Amino acid sequence: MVATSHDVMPDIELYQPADEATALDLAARLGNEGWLLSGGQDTYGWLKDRNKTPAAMIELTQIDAWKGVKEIADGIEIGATTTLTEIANDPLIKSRYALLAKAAGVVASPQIRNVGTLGGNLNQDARCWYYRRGLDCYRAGGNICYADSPEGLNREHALFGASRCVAVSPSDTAPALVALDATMVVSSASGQRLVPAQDYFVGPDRDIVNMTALNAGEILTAIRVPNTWANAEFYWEKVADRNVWDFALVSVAAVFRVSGNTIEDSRVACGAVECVPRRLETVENAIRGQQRSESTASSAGNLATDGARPLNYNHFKIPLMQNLVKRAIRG
Amino acid sequence: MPASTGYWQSKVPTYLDTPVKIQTGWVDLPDPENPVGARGVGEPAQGSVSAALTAAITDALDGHIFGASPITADMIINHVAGTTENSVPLAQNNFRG
Repeated sequence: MVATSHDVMPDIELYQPADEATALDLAARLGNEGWLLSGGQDTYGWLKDRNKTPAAMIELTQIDAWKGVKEIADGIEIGATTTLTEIANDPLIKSRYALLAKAAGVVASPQIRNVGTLGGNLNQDARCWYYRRGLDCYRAGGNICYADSPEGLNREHALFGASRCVAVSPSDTAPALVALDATMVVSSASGQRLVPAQDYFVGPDRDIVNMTALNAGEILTAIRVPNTWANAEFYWEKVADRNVWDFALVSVAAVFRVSGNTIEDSRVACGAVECVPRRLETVENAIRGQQRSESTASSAGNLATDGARPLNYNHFKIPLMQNLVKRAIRG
Repeated sequence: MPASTGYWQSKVPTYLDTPVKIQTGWVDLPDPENPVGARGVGEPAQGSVSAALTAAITDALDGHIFGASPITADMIINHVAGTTENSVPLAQNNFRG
């Protein structure tokens, strides 16, 4: 437990593979010992505070195959080490999947987006400040949750799915990709597996120390966004304490297929209310076939927070989430 | 227990959080407590900013008084939505106990 920041890098073995095979081989060989490094915007804080001390790091940014946006048979494939700035400005993403461009464009600050990658944004660790301080909480392998205690400050924490740990998913791009029905391409030395975005993120009830389904030796190498929601009607909004360089208090990512004024189908997902991006299937079901109107929006907004269990200081997230869902549906 | 470990948790307003236009005015009253009449600028002015913001928020909320400062966005959202927190307001260094 260290509260001091250090300016000197700790002693770490650094690997900089230039091709896929070498990277996957290193990941297989190093397993849990091999920390995957891309933009480093989640990594360096941990290292400076000495709260995580990986023995080795595998830098993934030299591998061209895992960068950039390309068209595939069904939609597009985005390399995991494509920077958030590139995604926010990419013509293809902006024209077909503006939701993702918007979400990527409001992550942290311009400087962080210039080096931070989509893969890093999706795989970043919980931002609970007790955990980040290096306390021995459940997520750090300990036996207590500091945030969900009588004196714990938990205004940024979860409304849903708490299971010992009450941290939330900090990613802005994750709810957008869940709403777009994206697929994660997970590679390892033994091959490739495809994981739907919704199943890629895991809550503390299933795995309390990892936020994703990525196993040791595996690397998230690409994200596929299918044609399903290309050029649909999108709504993205993020509420944070500041307008830049901040994590969401609640965010909403929504896609709609509207015919006339009738909602044929939709996907609605909220960020920062649960350990995973929370897909609101009850809302989607309730608004299917309904008019995209104020009254539909209003009743669906209230439905969004069904089952919410606020902690001591995050009650405000309930009206916030209801209003964001309402605004998304109202359009 | 201070849990903040970096500037990302210490939320100083950014350019995008401050008003596009900030106007200043002078009252031209010398300070009688000071040999040359000089008054402090910067920090001393923050007291009146806090009072002005508190009054403006109270006005916007039809006269609702929070009775504590700073007024956070959480407090305003809860008041408008009619929700309340489970716990007492966070301990503040304002001698309210």
